Amino acid sequence: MSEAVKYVLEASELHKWFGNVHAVNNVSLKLSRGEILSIVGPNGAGKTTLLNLLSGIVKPDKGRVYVYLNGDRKDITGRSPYYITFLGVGRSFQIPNIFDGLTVRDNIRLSILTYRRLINRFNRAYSSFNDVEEEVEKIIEIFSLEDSEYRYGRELSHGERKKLDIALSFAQQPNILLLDEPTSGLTYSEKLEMVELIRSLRREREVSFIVVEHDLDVVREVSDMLMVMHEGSVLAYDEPDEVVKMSEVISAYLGGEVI
Amino acid sequence: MMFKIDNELYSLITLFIFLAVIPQFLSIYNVRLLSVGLLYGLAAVGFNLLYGYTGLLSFGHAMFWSAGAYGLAIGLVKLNLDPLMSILLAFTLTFTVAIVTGYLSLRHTEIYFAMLTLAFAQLIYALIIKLRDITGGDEGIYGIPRFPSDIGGYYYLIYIIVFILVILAWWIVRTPLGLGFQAVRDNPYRAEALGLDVRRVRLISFVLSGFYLSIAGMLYAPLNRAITPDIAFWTFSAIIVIMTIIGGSKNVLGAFIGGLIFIYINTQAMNLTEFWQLTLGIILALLVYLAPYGIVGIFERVLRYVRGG
Amino acid sequence: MDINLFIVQLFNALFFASILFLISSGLSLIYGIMKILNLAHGALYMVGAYITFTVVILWLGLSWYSMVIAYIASIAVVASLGIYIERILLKPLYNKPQDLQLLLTFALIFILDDIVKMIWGAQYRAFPTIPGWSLSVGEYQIPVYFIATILIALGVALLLHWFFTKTIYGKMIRAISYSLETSAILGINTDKLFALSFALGAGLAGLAGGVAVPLYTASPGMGGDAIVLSFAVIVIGGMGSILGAFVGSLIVGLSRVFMAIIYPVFEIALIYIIMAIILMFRPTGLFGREMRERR
Repeated sequence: MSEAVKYVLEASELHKWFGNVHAVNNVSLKLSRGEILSIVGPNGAGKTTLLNLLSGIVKPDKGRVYVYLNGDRKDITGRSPYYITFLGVGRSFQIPNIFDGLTVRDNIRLSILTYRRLINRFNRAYSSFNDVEEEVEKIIEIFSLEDSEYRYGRELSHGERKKLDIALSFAQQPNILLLDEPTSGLTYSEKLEMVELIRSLRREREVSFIVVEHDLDVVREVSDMLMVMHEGSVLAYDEPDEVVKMSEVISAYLGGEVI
Repeated sequence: MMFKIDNELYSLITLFIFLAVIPQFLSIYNVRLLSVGLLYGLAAVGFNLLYGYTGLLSFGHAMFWSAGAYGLAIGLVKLNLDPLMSILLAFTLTFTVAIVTGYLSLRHTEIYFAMLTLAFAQLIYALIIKLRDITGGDEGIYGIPRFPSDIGGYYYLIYIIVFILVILAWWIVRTPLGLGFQAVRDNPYRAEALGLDVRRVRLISFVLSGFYLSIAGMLYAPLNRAITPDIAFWTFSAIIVIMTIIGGSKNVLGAFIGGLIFIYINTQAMNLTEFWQLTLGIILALLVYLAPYGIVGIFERVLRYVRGG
Repeated sequence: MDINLFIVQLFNALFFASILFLISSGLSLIYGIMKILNLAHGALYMVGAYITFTVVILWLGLSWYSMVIAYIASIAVVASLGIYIERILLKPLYNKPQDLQLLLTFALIFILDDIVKMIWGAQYRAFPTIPGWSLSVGEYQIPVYFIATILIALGVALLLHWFFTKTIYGKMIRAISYSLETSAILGINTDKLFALSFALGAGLAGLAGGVAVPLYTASPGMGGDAIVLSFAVIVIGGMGSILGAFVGSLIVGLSRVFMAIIYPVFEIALIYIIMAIILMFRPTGLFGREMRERR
């Protein structure tokens, strides 16, 4: 398989300083189609900042970010989050970021209507676009949100909010989803469900993932690749089994628990 | 094209059927009051597109009401234009005011947006007071012609236009554009991240809302035959906000009822006592504690109770 | 403009600015701490005006000590009114949407306007003369009362500065305006301080009314004009900032009085043009800072 077809996202030698803090220090990565890459590390390791750099919310001080589109490598460094979303990079947030005054259905409809550039129409009811409705049904099914379909965002449980947050991004047909701690605050069974969900999204649409995660069980369960970060730098970037072997060395070296 | 006919539309249509019949049983004085009520309702509905649906509290919407009223009156009385040209003048004025103030004030949200709109509205008030030759200053403009000239006939002109615009508002909030309004209200950051042009959506809502107020003002000027600068003062902006909150800002129906009820409460208070402001104030204060979601909120609570919810 | 006229107008403007400062510092203080835009602040100012009018004209007769007693009475009455408003009416609304607080303070305008009408009647209540003698500047006169008022405003400004930087209550109030949660964790009784701040703000409005009434005459509804100019002041200066209220008052006072001479059509308009320009480029106002969101 040629490089361009295999890869979907690439970051090379990213740096970000916040004042004196070197939040992201020389991080490079390559994400293949359908790959799930997990990023672990203690608080303040620069994981969320890295996601922000990739999704354009924060601009890197050095380094480039590329996406692969139809075989072409496209430089997206410094572009707006909106533009990057448009190129197929979706993003979820640590604190679920949804529309509280809209029902679950309307949340998803909004996302699809915006993506399909129908959002400025006012000659039809927003619930009257048949293909959009089909898509909404499908997403509700994939995310198992049937029970809360007609409830308002503010009435959802934490777990449902997390799912809806990801669903909003997924509805825009991304090639890549960047998930920031998708299982934080979830119960054990909700975590299992989330793992299953991530897998099924990959299965259904061949979506690639970068997942920032604290829960090691989740990480081992889903990841193809694992990156360990500490104080902005990459300590390890390999297959999970390899990293686990290494992690003992790492924790000995740092004199404490890294992950 | 299909719209689900929901409870809100049923209620609105029932209300409008009632409003079509009721003038037959009222005195001229009361028909006149009801006409003002319809216009207040229209204003509240328009204001609520911006406030309840897009989440922006404007404290200067009196400027649109007065842009419509003064635009029309200046055209008809001062410039002796024909009605059509006068309406065109009023619309041009409204559009200019809406685009300029909207563009400038929509850089901010929340209290700063409220204060900026207030500033622009007061600026317009100051100009109305001072530009005597055009606006009549403190005295305002008198002798505005009305067609049809009898109140009974004019009521139905107002009725038809208000009916169309209220149903239009009901429609708009159910279209993708209206969904966009609500998304911007709930979470502008996420809306932006999903690819919505938040500033543009806000501007559309602001201008649309301004036109509702302007049309209400345009219908008000001939109804009253005279206009004074009171309609541009900040207290009128506050009244527009308050009518909407009284009725309920959650939907179109609530805001519309708010306008009608406000006129009713106001008139009753005035008839009952010399100290009508006190009565009105106490009623407003009671509503704050007893009906925080507006009159429509009470109805909903009663309905839920009846259904055993 | 000849120099004498300029001096007279300058004092005129400073007098006007002093009144504005007394009103808007209280308004700003209340907003900074409680995040409530008190629409009824102008009505409190009106009550202050009526109290001073009553004490001086109806009871004691015009003299310097009756003026002092009247000011104290205005502050006391309006501040206690403020405490009642805060404790009974506003407190239950603290966890409710901001709209409701706005609605309530607007209702208070109606209520206070009519209560004033019940007690004092609807007619204008004017002082027969401006208290005190006048200084001659060429062919013009400057009432000493203007100078006294300016000194009062300066005194209040210094007192407020001392209060907020040197006293424990002032420091606690400032802490609250930065972060309500942290203050509560630190053991600050935010509840009590809310009442204190509202009373202080109301008392300042009362004093403003008392000081203004010899020139501006008392009438129901006089608060309406005052409050909207005060909005302009605190937006220009920065909401929640006393220094901002001071500078904002000067800007509004000077620009209004001098514009009235130069080009009267823009007398009021200029104020709002300044306000709009400042808000566009510096949304927090000249001396405002990013404050905590409301609860």
